[in-house]
Amino acid sequence: MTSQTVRLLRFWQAEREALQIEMRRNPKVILLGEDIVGAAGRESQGIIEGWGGPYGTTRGLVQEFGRARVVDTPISEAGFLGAAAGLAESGYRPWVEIMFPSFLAVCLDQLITNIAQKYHLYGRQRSVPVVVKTLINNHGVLYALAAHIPGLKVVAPSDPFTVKGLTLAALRDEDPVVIFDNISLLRNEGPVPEGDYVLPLGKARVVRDGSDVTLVGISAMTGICLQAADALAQDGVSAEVVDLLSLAPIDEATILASVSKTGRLVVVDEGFPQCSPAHDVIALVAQRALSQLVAAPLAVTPPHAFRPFSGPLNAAYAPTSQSVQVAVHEVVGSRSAPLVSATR
Amino acid sequence: MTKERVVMRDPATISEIYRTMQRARQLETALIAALTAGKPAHVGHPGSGQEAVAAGTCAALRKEDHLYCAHRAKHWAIAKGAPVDGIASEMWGKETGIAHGLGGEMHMRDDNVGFIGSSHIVGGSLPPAVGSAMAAKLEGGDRIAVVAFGDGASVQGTFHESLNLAAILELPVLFLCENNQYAESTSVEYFSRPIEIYRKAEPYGIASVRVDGQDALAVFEAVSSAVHAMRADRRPRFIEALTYRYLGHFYGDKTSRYRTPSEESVWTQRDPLIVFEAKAAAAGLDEGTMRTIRDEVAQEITRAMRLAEASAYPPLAELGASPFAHPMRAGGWDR
Repeated sequence: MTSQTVRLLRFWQAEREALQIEMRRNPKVILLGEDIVGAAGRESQGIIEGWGGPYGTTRGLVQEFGRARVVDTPISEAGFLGAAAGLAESGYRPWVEIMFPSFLAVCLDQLITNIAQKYHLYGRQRSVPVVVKTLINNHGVLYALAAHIPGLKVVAPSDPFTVKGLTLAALRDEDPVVIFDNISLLRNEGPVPEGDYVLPLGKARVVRDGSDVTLVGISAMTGICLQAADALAQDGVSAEVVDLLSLAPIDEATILASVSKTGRLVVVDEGFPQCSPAHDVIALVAQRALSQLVAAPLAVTPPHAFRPFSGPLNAAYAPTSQSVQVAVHEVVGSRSAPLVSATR
Repeated sequence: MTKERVVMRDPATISEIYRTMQRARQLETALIAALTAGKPAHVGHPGSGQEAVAAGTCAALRKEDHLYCAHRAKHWAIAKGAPVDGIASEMWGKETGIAHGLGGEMHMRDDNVGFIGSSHIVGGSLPPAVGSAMAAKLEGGDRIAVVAFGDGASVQGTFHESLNLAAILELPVLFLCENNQYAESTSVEYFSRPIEIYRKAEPYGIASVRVDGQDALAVFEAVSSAVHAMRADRRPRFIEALTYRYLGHFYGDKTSRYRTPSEESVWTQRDPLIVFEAKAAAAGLDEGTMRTIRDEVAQEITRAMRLAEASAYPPLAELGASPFAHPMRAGGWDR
């Protein structure tokens, strides 16, 4: 990978590049989703493509691969996600875009019954390797719903580099994978190697070394953790940041190794706190590394409530660098906790 | 089109239909102007061009009839009688909004006027409308339930499940398809069979018609006929109103990516306000009255926008409130 040219790409461009690489490599890869091309049926009017995906992830792919492989669907989430199961059972590799997280709820039965369950309960004969790509946005952060279901691998990439590598890994994995992109990251730029590379599913990565506290971030919260770590360094607190990346399975070894080094844990999760990855990570450490801890671990999450529409409430809902700093000072026991009003 | 009953066009109803359309159009225009001026207002899902469907439908309803709608909701909330200033404030996310600024366009409701809410899931509102009709039948009165949804909803499972339920249980629910011919950037000609949505009601044995959705009086007559029959026979009905959204699926969506200018101009020439005004004299509304209505609405919208701009946001403490209507613990939720 080191010999490859590295460029700056936006998150959605890196994801599109992964789709393009795999569609060229594997003719069995089929994309399905609402408006992933758009303007269907308008070729005679000179319109080849409409939206190209609501956020551009699939833009231009129809021109290379045609509408037989880049399929616009009606607003029928249960129908087309279930159809993706059938495609996978017939040897294809469907990548399905569920536009918004709340639309995932519309087709949860297909995801659970026809995709996740189909391997184990049918005598472990054949898995259903569908890749579902959906979003984290104001409608909700529903990765915990997916991570709760046995048989689904769930990832939350945090930057352009990780979305490309994880998408390529997902499209080659023998199990179904649900990818949660974050709307707040889609336009972010980051270095991305040209060509083919995969990041292993089920692995976290340490994105900053530290010695006093382990911060575990998920998706956009990894960036928040890095911001907090910079600020904490000014206060003399050395924070290690782990980018969780995989919510199912969770990379136990990386978390336990980090906590064994730092003795303290703060998990930052943008989702509803009940039955969340944040609390899974804390439970893991409580069960497996309690003796390593020198302070009680903390989760920094939104309140257990839907995200309000109103601007200021919306802005104050999710964890921020400030609320992470407050939590870290509490865990570290520093006296110099900054005076900020944080919502946890 | 069914002609179950000739509807009397009384002047008060006619002018209310016009007032409703003016409110919807002028509010959206004001929200766009505020947003363009850099103010923290939201336009949401534009309804300009589709006002006649909501105005004509709701003029044929009573306050106690329940209305459910979809994500393109402002004109429906206005038509059912929810206060315009509350809707404007909601679009600014202010405490004075009809959902106290918590929900925005897609989570508005006002039970005082029988507006039971918008929804952000396409096809999501049909099943609860069926349940409301079930309750209406159990109650024994002549209330009905109405659900307004788009052409895109007609390919969701909930659409077919709801029509079947309403048919087998014989429930007084009016399925009102506001067909603007596009699900986001995708044309109904691509995504639906049959392309004529009203025909999907036929196999369920539900009487259905298609009406010109740019003609508020035609919508009013069709809905009045259906509702009159439903209050007596307590059975479902289906109306498809053919219309067009002038702007994008959301504000900022460029329609040129998926529609031609020539197609758009065909529809903007049939603007529901123009169509109405041309028919108004015959319907008993003179130009002076219409001008008065326009001016009154303009003042009303100006006041509503001023109130919205001046109002406070909901307090940040709202974030710590319990997610339960009846908290289990004193002091609410502890997270």
